[in-house]
Amino acid sequence: MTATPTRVLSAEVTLAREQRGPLQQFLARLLRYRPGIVSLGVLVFLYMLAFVVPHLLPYSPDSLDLTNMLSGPNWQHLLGTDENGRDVLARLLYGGQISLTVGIFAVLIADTVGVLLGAVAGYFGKISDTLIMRITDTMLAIPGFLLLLVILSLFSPSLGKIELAIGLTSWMTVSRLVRGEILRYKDAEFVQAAKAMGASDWRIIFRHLLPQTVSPVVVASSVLIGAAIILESALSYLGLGIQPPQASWGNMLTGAQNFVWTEPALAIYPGVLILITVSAFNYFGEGLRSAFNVTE
Amino acid sequence: MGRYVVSRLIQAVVLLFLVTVIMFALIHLAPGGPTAVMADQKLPAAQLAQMRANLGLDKPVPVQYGIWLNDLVHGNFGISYTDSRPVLDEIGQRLPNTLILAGTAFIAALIISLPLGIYTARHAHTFADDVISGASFIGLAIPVFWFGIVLIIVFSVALHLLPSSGMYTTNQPPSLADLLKHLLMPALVLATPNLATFTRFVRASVIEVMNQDYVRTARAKGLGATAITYRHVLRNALIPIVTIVGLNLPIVIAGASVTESVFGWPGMGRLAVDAAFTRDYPVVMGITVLVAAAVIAINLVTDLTYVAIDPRVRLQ
Repeated sequence: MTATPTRVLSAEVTLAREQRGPLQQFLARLLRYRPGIVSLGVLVFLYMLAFVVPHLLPYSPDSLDLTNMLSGPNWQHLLGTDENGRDVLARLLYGGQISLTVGIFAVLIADTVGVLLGAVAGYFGKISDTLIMRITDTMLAIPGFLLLLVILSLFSPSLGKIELAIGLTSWMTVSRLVRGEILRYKDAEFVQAAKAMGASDWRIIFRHLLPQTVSPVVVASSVLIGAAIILESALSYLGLGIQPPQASWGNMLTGAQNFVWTEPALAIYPGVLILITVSAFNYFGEGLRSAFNVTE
Repeated sequence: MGRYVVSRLIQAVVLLFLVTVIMFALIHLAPGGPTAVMADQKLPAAQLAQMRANLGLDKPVPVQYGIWLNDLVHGNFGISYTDSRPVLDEIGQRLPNTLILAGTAFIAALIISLPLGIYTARHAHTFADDVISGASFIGLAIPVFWFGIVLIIVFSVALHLLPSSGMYTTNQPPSLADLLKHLLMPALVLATPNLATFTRFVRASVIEVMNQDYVRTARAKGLGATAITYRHVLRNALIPIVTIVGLNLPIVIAGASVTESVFGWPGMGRLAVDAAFTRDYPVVMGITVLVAAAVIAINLVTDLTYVAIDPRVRLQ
């Protein structure tokens, strides 16, 4: 007797669950992974800090205060000044603009190249597949960091060139991923149906196949963004990335390393910010992975 | 099997050839070439032209490549532009130092990550797993050069325990104890990102094997958890682990460039950075060839090992 209402209730619950659209289910899964959501909040906060707050500060990142070098924290300069008397807080915030954009644009470039090459290789097969996969293998065999060093030593580095260089040396995971996904789906029934209706090859690739690759590519991208941020900071640290006097978290560390014996704090700030930013992208990527249901 | 090995060997050689073509082409795209750096010293044009001729840079790029490749095949890596010594001597002098550093870091990362990965896999989704797996994310996010600077601040500046740079103390006869003191921080720095990658990979690999039917069979016939882990799971999980260890080699080299720069370690990574700065092309090409050859060789050996131990691969 009592079993009947319970069954009705649970059926209603199931129904309600099914009525939620795929987007709501996705968001629900995304919200369930706490570190991912916290990371998203941290990222939003960092972007605000880097792109909004600098307009409110009294100092430009490049203005020198030669009577006030390496001052240490005080009320005038909240985090003190560096070896040239520049406000450390202002430089950290402006430097953040570099780190917070370089990863995203570099990965957009890597994704574009990787998706196109992977799609062509996977869909058309034969010669194009052999050729593209050989190029991919070659790029994977070249020591990537050395390649970056060489490229950037050839052209005077600017933000755009750094993004381009990192993007063009890190598309290989994406192309392999996309090729694999396309091979998986290219004989599926929905593709055959599209073909039967007279869809062109490119229409099948863009309208039917590439949407299948979105989730793994997005997940891979979030990890690539973190890696690209670290790469830029390492290149800037070595002097082949963002050039002084423009501030970046990487090149601030080059200057600070000379003063570790007297002002160690200057060497701590930029690295902590890189660490927080990259961790946030990685954790958010992990959240996306579980929300998209992507397994490695 | 014999035919497969031969075809893979040919592929490997072709791959190495392509790597050198791409690198060589890129390098010679540069406006001005290596003499551009020397041109900063405001030499007269005639003298610059003479220098370019001496270095063979006045010839067309394909011809230069042909000469370079011919020399390489005969074991001649060329002469360094910056100090006029044979490239092979330069690299030979630095390589052992990098091997000491990278080898220590690599082995340390493996020794620590294996038990950590197995432990987290066996206790997946427990508190301990969450902590260790969470920490491995942070290990991946630490910029190596900054980690090095932080260690210097703690152990050299604050505690005066360890030397902040170099490989041996100057004005002292080199000793093993001295070397180890200098090695500790850079090796730790270089090991950290690998430790994180390996731990995550071992964990994933072990979990995947633990879900296999034969593991369930082993459990069903009453084998203990430890016996299953070491006799059935680990043995099979190790194969993909070997692959990722091989694939990580270029990352170790990249890490070595930065780590060696932070700690003033006289290794090949530092040599690569310096050579890129000064456009010392023969040195850059030499290092490229060596590292690419190592990467290709390791991939080849892993693939052949697969074929040797897994009959399913052979059938394809």
